[in-house]
Amino acid sequence: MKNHNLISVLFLMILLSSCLKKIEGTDNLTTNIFDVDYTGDAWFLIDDIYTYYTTFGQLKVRVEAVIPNANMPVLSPNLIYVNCHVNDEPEVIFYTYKNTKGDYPFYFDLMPETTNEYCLEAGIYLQDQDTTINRFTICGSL
Amino acid sequence: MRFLFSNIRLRHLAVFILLISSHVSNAQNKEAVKFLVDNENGYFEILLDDTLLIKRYKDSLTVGQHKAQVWSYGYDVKEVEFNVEPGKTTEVYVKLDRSAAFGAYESSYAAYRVKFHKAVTIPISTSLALSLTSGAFMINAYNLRKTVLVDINNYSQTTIPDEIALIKNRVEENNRKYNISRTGFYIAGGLALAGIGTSIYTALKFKRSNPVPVYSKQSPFSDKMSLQFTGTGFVFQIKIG
Repeated sequence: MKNHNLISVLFLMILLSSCLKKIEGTDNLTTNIFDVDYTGDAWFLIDDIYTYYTTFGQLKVRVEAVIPNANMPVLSPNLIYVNCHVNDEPEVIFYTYKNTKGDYPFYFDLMPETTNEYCLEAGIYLQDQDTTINRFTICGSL
Repeated sequence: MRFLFSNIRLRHLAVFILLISSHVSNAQNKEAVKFLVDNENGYFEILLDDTLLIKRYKDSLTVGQHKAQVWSYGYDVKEVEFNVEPGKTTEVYVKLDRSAAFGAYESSYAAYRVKFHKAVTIPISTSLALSLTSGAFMINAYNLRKTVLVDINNYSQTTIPDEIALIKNRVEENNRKYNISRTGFYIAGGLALAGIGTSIYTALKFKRSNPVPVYSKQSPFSDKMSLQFTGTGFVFQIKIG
């Protein structure tokens, strides 16, 4: 009887030991793109780069990008602000709405460059703090 | 004269009849006698005139010289002589002396208890304290683990940078406390297990090598006939052979 009790206690201890193991992920809380310490990959993608003529007959280049829903926090807002620019163009703050797929599309128009390479730098703009975090640059060609 | 015989254990009815007849014949010359027995446990047995054993402080005895042997558990038998005078209640004061055997028993029992505490009580108490400590660490660790997991989940949900910073601080602090608690649980739990093992070992070893000292409560008058009054009558007992 005593042996059975001892074995039960040992079994319980082993069972409890497995429940109280180290918590994984506490050192990796850098995956939220709204975290200033974000260390993940670029959170947006260049969807397309193409030329088009405006209604005034002017040739322009449009760099289309998207923030995939998979890169957003679970409780994603309806719109977010993005601070971005292409090549040497001045920065512009956009707000982008969530579409039906849950993605956040945005684009940047500029005059055609002599080179065909267009590099989009974008960051999350925090209105309250008037600051931009987690800037990334992605380049693409026409 | 009416007697109520409610509980009579006799092995030899003849002896009982002889005794009753003896008492009846002397009934008219009896006087009250009170025995004032000085001992600590309140129990005593009195053997009157090497014949009748009584276990009460008051009785009626025939006028004249009597002899009594008084005994109680843990005391030596004391012999007293007294004279019962007519028309007067006789008080017999008897102070019992502790027996040497009982003194030796008390000493050995005290030593046994000290050994018992060292071999059983202290290890079990320590094991119990360690088990409770381990349990406290475990409960605390579980609560902290739950909090940390909830916060990790919240981190992946929110879009508010200030809230993210708060969550991360909480996770870091609670995870640190969690690690302390689970380390405490493992250490206290391990020690508790070791303590339980030690307790079982020392208790078994103690039980094998330390028999409980006993002191016989056997009355020296156990072979004598006795008279005891109960609430519903009396018991007359005699042992032969």
